Amino acid sequence: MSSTGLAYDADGRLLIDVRGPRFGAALTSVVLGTALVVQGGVGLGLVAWQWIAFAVSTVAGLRFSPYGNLFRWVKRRFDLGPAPATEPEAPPRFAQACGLAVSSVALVAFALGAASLGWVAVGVVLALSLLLATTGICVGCELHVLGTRVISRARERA
Amino acid sequence: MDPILVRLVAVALFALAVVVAGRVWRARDGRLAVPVGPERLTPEQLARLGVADAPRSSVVGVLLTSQTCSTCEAAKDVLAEVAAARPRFAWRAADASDHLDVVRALGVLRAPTLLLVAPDGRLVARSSGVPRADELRRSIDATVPHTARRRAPLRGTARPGVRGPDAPRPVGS
Repeated sequence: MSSTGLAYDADGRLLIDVRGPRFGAALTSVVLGTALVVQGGVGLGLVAWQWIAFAVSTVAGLRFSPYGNLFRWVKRRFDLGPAPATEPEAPPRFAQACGLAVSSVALVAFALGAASLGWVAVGVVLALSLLLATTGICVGCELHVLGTRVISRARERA
Repeated sequence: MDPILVRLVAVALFALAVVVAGRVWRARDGRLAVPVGPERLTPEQLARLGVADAPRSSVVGVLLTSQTCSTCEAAKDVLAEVAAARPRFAWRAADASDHLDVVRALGVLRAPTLLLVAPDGRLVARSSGVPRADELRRSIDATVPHTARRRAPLRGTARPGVRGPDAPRPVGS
Protein backbone atom coordinates (compact mmCIF):
# COMPACT_ATOMS: atom_id res chain seq x y z
CA MET A 1 0.00 0.00 0.00
CA SER A 2 1.40 3.39 -0.91
CA SER A 3 2.57 5.81 1.71
CA THR A 4 0.12 8.41 0.45
CA GLY A 5 -2.68 6.59 2.24
CA LEU A 6 -4.89 5.80 -0.74
CA ALA A 7 -5.61 2.14 -1.29
CA TYR A 8 -8.55 0.10 -2.40
CA ASP A 9 -9.79 -3.27 -1.25
CA ALA A 10 -10.81 -6.18 -3.46
CA ASP A 11 -14.28 -4.69 -4.05
CA GLY A 12 -12.88 -1.34 -5.12
CA ARG A 13 -13.86 0.39 -1.91
CA LEU A 14 -11.52 3.00 -0.50
CA LEU A 15 -9.37 1.96 2.44
CA ILE A 16 -8.06 4.72 4.62
CA ASP A 17 -5.20 5.07 7.08
CA VAL A 18 -6.68 4.64 10.57
CA ARG A 19 -4.75 7.71 11.72
CA GLY A 20 -6.55 9.89 9.19
CA PRO A 21 -9.93 10.27 10.95
CA ARG A 22 -8.19 11.03 14.22
CA PHE A 23 -6.08 13.73 12.58
CA GLY A 24 -9.21 15.20 11.02
CA ALA A 25 -11.03 15.03 14.34
CA ALA A 26 -8.18 16.88 16.05
CA LEU A 27 -8.37 19.69 13.47
CA THR A 28 -12.16 19.76 13.78
CA SER A 29 -11.81 20.11 17.55
CA VAL A 30 -9.43 23.06 17.18
CA VAL A 31 -11.69 24.76 14.64
CA LEU A 32 -14.89 24.32 16.64
CA GLY A 33 -13.26 24.97 20.01
CA THR A 34 -11.94 28.27 18.67
CA ALA A 35 -15.35 29.09 17.20
CA LEU A 36 -17.01 28.48 20.58
CA VAL A 37 -14.54 30.76 22.34
CA VAL A 38 -14.46 33.73 19.97
CA GLN A 39 -18.03 33.40 18.62
CA GLY A 40 -19.19 36.43 16.64
CA GLY A 41 -18.56 36.66 12.91
CA VAL A 42 -15.25 34.80 13.06
CA GLY A 43 -16.83 31.98 15.05
CA LEU A 44 -19.68 31.71 12.59
CA GLY A 45 -17.22 31.60 9.72
CA LEU A 46 -15.31 28.76 11.37
CA VAL A 47 -18.52 26.77 11.86
CA ALA A 48 -19.45 27.38 8.22
CA TRP A 49 -16.02 26.16 7.10
CA GLN A 50 -16.37 23.03 9.22
CA TRP A 51 -19.79 22.42 7.69
CA ILE A 52 -18.21 22.55 4.23
CA ALA A 53 -15.51 20.08 5.30
CA PHE A 54 -18.18 17.66 6.60
CA ALA A 55 -20.27 18.09 3.46
CA VAL A 56 -17.42 17.36 1.06
CA SER A 57 -16.39 14.22 2.98
CA THR A 58 -19.96 12.98 3.23
CA VAL A 59 -21.05 13.61 -0.34
CA ALA A 60 -17.85 13.14 -2.35
CA GLY A 61 -16.15 10.62 -0.10
CA LEU A 62 -13.12 10.74 2.15
CA ARG A 63 -10.80 10.89 -0.82
CA PHE A 64 -11.78 14.55 -1.20
CA SER A 65 -11.90 15.36 2.49
CA PRO A 66 -9.94 18.59 3.11
CA TYR A 67 -8.46 17.32 6.36
CA GLY A 68 -7.76 13.94 4.80
CA ASN A 69 -5.82 15.56 1.99
CA LEU A 70 -3.93 17.69 4.49
CA PHE A 71 -3.10 14.53 6.44
CA ARG A 72 -1.71 12.85 3.33
CA TRP A 73 0.41 15.93 2.64
CA VAL A 74 1.68 15.91 6.26
CA LYS A 75 2.55 12.23 5.94
CA ARG A 76 4.59 12.87 2.82
CA ARG A 77 6.21 16.06 4.08
CA PHE A 78 7.23 14.67 7.47
CA ASP A 79 7.72 11.11 6.26
CA LEU A 80 5.39 9.58 8.82
CA GLY A 81 5.56 6.19 7.18
CA PRO A 82 2.89 3.79 5.94
CA ALA A 83 -0.38 3.25 7.74
CA PRO A 84 -0.17 0.98 10.80
CA ALA A 85 -3.60 -0.31 9.79
CA THR A 86 -6.30 0.53 7.31
CA GLU A 87 -10.05 0.57 7.65
CA PRO A 88 -12.91 0.82 5.19
CA GLU A 89 -14.22 4.25 4.43
CA ALA A 90 -17.83 3.62 5.46
CA PRO A 91 -17.74 4.09 9.25
CA PRO A 92 -15.75 7.36 9.28
CA ARG A 93 -17.79 8.67 6.38
CA PHE A 94 -20.98 7.95 8.31
CA ALA A 95 -19.49 9.82 11.25
CA GLN A 96 -18.82 12.79 8.95
CA ALA A 97 -22.48 12.63 7.93
CA CYS A 98 -23.48 12.81 11.61
CA GLY A 99 -21.23 15.85 12.06
CA LEU A 100 -22.83 17.39 8.98
CA ALA A 101 -26.30 16.82 10.39
CA VAL A 102 -25.64 18.42 13.77
CA SER A 103 -23.65 21.35 12.34
CA SER A 104 -26.53 21.93 9.91
CA VAL A 105 -28.78 22.27 12.95
CA ALA A 106 -26.30 24.80 14.34
CA LEU A 107 -26.24 26.89 11.17
CA VAL A 108 -30.02 26.86 10.86
CA ALA A 109 -30.28 27.95 14.50
CA PHE A 110 -27.88 30.84 13.83
CA ALA A 111 -29.85 31.84 10.74
CA LEU A 112 -33.06 31.88 12.76
CA GLY A 113 -31.46 33.99 15.48
CA ALA A 114 -31.33 31.21 18.10
CA ALA A 115 -27.63 31.70 18.77
CA SER A 116 -27.57 29.80 22.08
CA LEU A 117 -29.07 26.71 20.48
CA GLY A 118 -26.57 27.06 17.66
CA TRP A 119 -23.60 27.11 20.02
CA VAL A 120 -24.97 24.15 21.97
CA ALA A 121 -25.10 22.20 18.72
CA VAL A 122 -21.52 23.27 17.97
CA GLY A 123 -20.61 22.01 21.43
CA VAL A 124 -22.10 18.62 20.63
CA VAL A 125 -20.01 18.28 17.46
CA LEU A 126 -16.97 19.46 19.41
CA ALA A 127 -17.54 16.75 22.02
CA LEU A 128 -17.82 14.06 19.34
CA SER A 129 -14.68 15.16 17.51
CA LEU A 130 -12.77 15.42 20.80
CA LEU A 131 -13.74 11.86 21.67
CA LEU A 132 -12.56 10.60 18.32
CA ALA A 133 -9.33 12.56 18.41
CA THR A 134 -8.31 11.63 21.96
CA THR A 135 -9.72 8.13 22.50
CA GLY A 136 -10.53 6.84 19.03
CA ILE A 137 -14.17 6.38 19.95
CA CYS A 138 -16.38 6.97 16.92
CA VAL A 139 -19.78 7.87 18.35
CA GLY A 140 -21.27 8.41 14.91
CA CYS A 141 -20.35 4.86 13.93
CA GLU A 142 -21.97 3.53 17.10
CA LEU A 143 -25.27 5.22 16.33
CA HIS A 144 -25.91 3.11 13.24
CA VAL A 145 -27.58 0.26 15.14
CA LEU A 146 -29.72 2.68 17.09
CA GLY A 147 -30.64 4.49 13.90
CA THR A 148 -31.65 1.26 12.19
CA ARG A 149 -33.91 0.35 15.11
CA VAL A 150 -35.60 3.75 15.10
CA ILE A 151 -36.09 3.83 11.34
CA SER A 152 -37.51 0.32 11.18
CA ARG A 153 -39.90 1.09 14.01
CA ALA A 154 -41.03 4.23 12.18
CA ARG A 155 -41.56 2.16 9.03
CA GLU A 156 -43.60 -0.40 10.91
CA ARG A 157 -45.89 2.27 12.22
CA ALA A 158 -46.35 3.92 8.83
CA MET B 1 -14.34 39.64 33.14
CA ASP B 2 -13.61 39.42 29.45
CA PRO B 3 -16.28 37.14 27.94
CA ILE B 4 -13.75 35.50 25.64
CA LEU B 5 -11.63 34.52 28.63
CA VAL B 6 -14.68 33.11 30.38
CA ARG B 7 -15.59 31.07 27.34
CA LEU B 8 -12.01 29.90 26.94
CA VAL B 9 -12.01 28.50 30.45
CA ALA B 10 -15.46 27.00 29.96
CA VAL B 11 -14.51 25.29 26.68
CA ALA B 12 -11.25 24.02 28.21
CA LEU B 13 -13.14 22.51 31.15
CA PHE B 14 -15.72 21.04 28.79
CA ALA B 15 -12.97 19.47 26.69
CA LEU B 16 -11.36 18.02 29.81
CA ALA B 17 -14.69 16.54 30.94
CA VAL B 18 -15.24 14.96 27.52
CA VAL B 19 -11.77 13.41 27.44
CA VAL B 20 -12.17 11.99 30.96
CA ALA B 21 -15.59 10.58 30.05
CA GLY B 22 -14.03 9.00 26.97
CA ARG B 23 -11.30 7.37 29.05
CA VAL B 24 -13.91 5.97 31.44
CA TRP B 25 -15.94 4.56 28.56
CA ARG B 26 -12.83 2.99 27.06
CA ALA B 27 -12.08 1.32 30.37
CA ARG B 28 -15.55 -0.20 30.52
CA ASP B 29 -15.61 -1.17 26.85
CA GLY B 30 -15.64 -4.86 26.06
CA ARG B 31 -16.38 -5.98 29.59
CA LEU B 32 -18.61 -9.00 29.81
CA ALA B 33 -21.81 -8.38 31.71
CA VAL B 34 -24.10 -11.05 33.08
CA PRO B 35 -27.77 -10.34 32.45
CA VAL B 36 -29.83 -9.72 35.57
CA GLY B 37 -33.01 -11.53 34.63
CA PRO B 38 -33.36 -14.78 32.72
CA GLU B 39 -32.81 -13.69 29.14
CA ARG B 40 -32.82 -16.21 26.36
CA LEU B 41 -33.06 -16.47 22.63
CA THR B 42 -36.00 -18.38 21.21
CA PRO B 43 -35.38 -21.40 18.96
CA GLU B 44 -36.61 -19.36 15.98
CA GLN B 45 -34.12 -16.59 16.71
CA LEU B 46 -31.32 -19.12 17.14
CA ALA B 47 -32.24 -20.70 13.83
CA ARG B 48 -32.30 -17.37 11.99
CA LEU B 49 -28.94 -16.50 13.49
CA GLY B 50 -27.60 -19.75 12.13
CA VAL B 51 -26.61 -21.25 15.48
CA ALA B 52 -29.44 -23.70 16.07
CA ASP B 53 -27.30 -26.58 14.85
CA ALA B 54 -24.45 -26.01 17.31
CA PRO B 55 -23.42 -29.05 19.35
CA ARG B 56 -25.33 -29.43 22.60
CA SER B 57 -22.18 -29.16 24.65
CA SER B 58 -20.89 -25.92 23.21
CA VAL B 59 -21.39 -22.28 23.97
CA VAL B 60 -21.96 -20.00 21.02
CA GLY B 61 -20.98 -16.40 20.55
CA VAL B 62 -23.15 -14.24 18.31
CA LEU B 63 -21.43 -11.04 17.26
CA LEU B 64 -23.93 -8.43 16.13
CA THR B 65 -22.27 -6.11 13.65
CA SER B 66 -23.30 -3.14 11.58
CA GLN B 67 -22.21 -1.54 8.34
CA THR B 68 -20.52 1.38 10.07
CA CYS B 69 -18.88 -0.53 12.88
CA SER B 70 -15.26 0.56 13.12
CA THR B 71 -14.15 -1.98 15.73
CA CYS B 72 -15.90 -5.09 14.41
CA GLU B 73 -12.75 -6.45 12.74
CA ALA B 74 -10.87 -6.23 16.02
CA ALA B 75 -13.77 -7.99 17.78
CA LYS B 76 -13.71 -10.80 15.21
CA ASP B 77 -9.97 -11.20 15.73
CA VAL B 78 -10.50 -11.64 19.47
CA LEU B 79 -13.25 -14.21 18.90
CA ALA B 80 -11.11 -16.15 16.44
CA GLU B 81 -8.24 -16.19 18.90
CA VAL B 82 -10.43 -17.45 21.74
CA ALA B 83 -12.13 -20.05 19.51
CA ALA B 84 -8.75 -21.44 18.53
CA ALA B 85 -8.05 -22.28 22.17
CA ARG B 86 -11.55 -23.39 23.19
CA PRO B 87 -12.95 -26.22 21.09
CA ARG B 88 -16.32 -25.93 22.84
CA PHE B 89 -16.71 -22.33 21.72
CA ALA B 90 -18.06 -21.40 18.30
CA TRP B 91 -19.07 -18.04 17.00
CA ARG B 92 -20.55 -16.28 14.07
CA ALA B 93 -21.15 -12.69 13.04
CA ALA B 94 -24.56 -11.39 12.05
CA ASP B 95 -25.66 -7.98 10.87
CA ALA B 96 -27.80 -6.36 13.54
CA SER B 97 -30.13 -4.85 10.96
CA ASP B 98 -31.10 -8.35 9.80
CA HIS B 99 -32.04 -9.40 13.31
CA LEU B 100 -33.96 -6.47 14.70
CA ASP B 101 -36.16 -8.80 16.75
CA VAL B 102 -33.16 -9.92 18.76
CA VAL B 103 -31.83 -6.37 18.89
CA ARG B 104 -35.10 -5.09 20.34
CA ALA B 105 -35.74 -8.01 22.66
CA LEU B 106 -32.31 -7.71 24.24
CA GLY B 107 -32.00 -3.95 24.07
CA VAL B 108 -28.92 -3.93 21.87
CA LEU B 109 -27.76 -0.37 21.25
CA ARG B 110 -24.27 -0.70 19.84
CA ALA B 111 -22.20 -2.66 17.41
CA PRO B 112 -20.26 -4.80 17.98
CA THR B 113 -22.30 -6.51 20.65
CA LEU B 114 -21.37 -10.02 21.61
CA LEU B 115 -24.06 -12.35 22.92
CA LEU B 116 -22.80 -15.46 24.65
CA VAL B 117 -25.50 -18.13 24.38
CA ALA B 118 -25.61 -21.39 26.33
CA PRO B 119 -26.68 -24.60 24.57
CA ASP B 120 -30.27 -24.13 25.81
CA GLY B 121 -30.57 -20.63 24.37
CA ARG B 122 -30.02 -18.87 27.68
CA LEU B 123 -28.03 -15.65 27.46
CA VAL B 124 -24.95 -16.23 29.58
CA ALA B 125 -23.17 -12.93 29.07
CA ARG B 126 -22.99 -10.01 26.74
CA SER B 127 -20.52 -7.27 25.98
CA SER B 128 -20.46 -4.26 23.73
CA GLY B 129 -17.32 -3.04 22.07
CA VAL B 130 -14.32 -5.27 21.45
CA PRO B 131 -14.72 -8.13 23.93
CA ARG B 132 -11.93 -8.85 26.36
CA ALA B 133 -10.34 -12.20 25.64
CA ASP B 134 -9.64 -13.11 29.26
CA GLU B 135 -13.18 -12.35 30.45
CA LEU B 136 -14.56 -14.23 27.49
CA ARG B 137 -12.49 -17.30 28.27
CA ARG B 138 -13.57 -17.18 31.91
CA SER B 139 -17.20 -16.97 30.95
CA ILE B 140 -16.90 -19.84 28.47
CA ASP B 141 -15.12 -22.01 31.02
CA ALA B 142 -17.78 -21.28 33.61
CA THR B 143 -20.54 -22.36 31.22
CA VAL B 144 -19.02 -25.38 29.52
CA PRO B 145 -16.15 -26.65 31.66
CA HIS B 146 -13.50 -28.07 29.41
CA THR B 147 -11.44 -31.04 30.45
CA ALA B 148 -8.34 -31.46 28.29
CA ARG B 149 -6.91 -28.14 27.26
CA ARG B 150 -5.81 -28.23 23.69
CA ARG B 151 -3.26 -25.52 23.29
CA ALA B 152 -3.36 -23.45 20.14
CA PRO B 153 0.04 -23.62 18.41
CA LEU B 154 2.12 -20.51 18.91
CA ARG B 155 2.62 -18.51 15.78
CA GLY B 156 5.97 -19.07 14.11
CA THR B 157 7.02 -22.11 16.10
CA ALA B 158 6.81 -25.52 14.52
CA ARG B 159 6.81 -28.75 16.44
CA PRO B 160 9.60 -30.97 15.15
CA GLY B 161 8.35 -33.74 12.93
CA VAL B 162 4.98 -32.12 12.31
CA ARG B 163 4.34 -30.45 8.99
CA GLY B 164 1.44 -28.23 8.09
CA PRO B 165 -0.54 -28.92 4.95
CA ASP B 166 1.27 -26.25 2.96
CA ALA B 167 4.77 -26.87 4.19
CA PRO B 168 7.28 -27.59 1.43
CA ARG B 169 7.84 -31.27 0.91
CA PRO B 170 11.24 -32.73 0.27
CA VAL B 171 11.93 -33.64 -3.33
CA GLY B 172 10.83 -37.14 -4.19
CA SER B 173 8.17 -37.57 -1.51
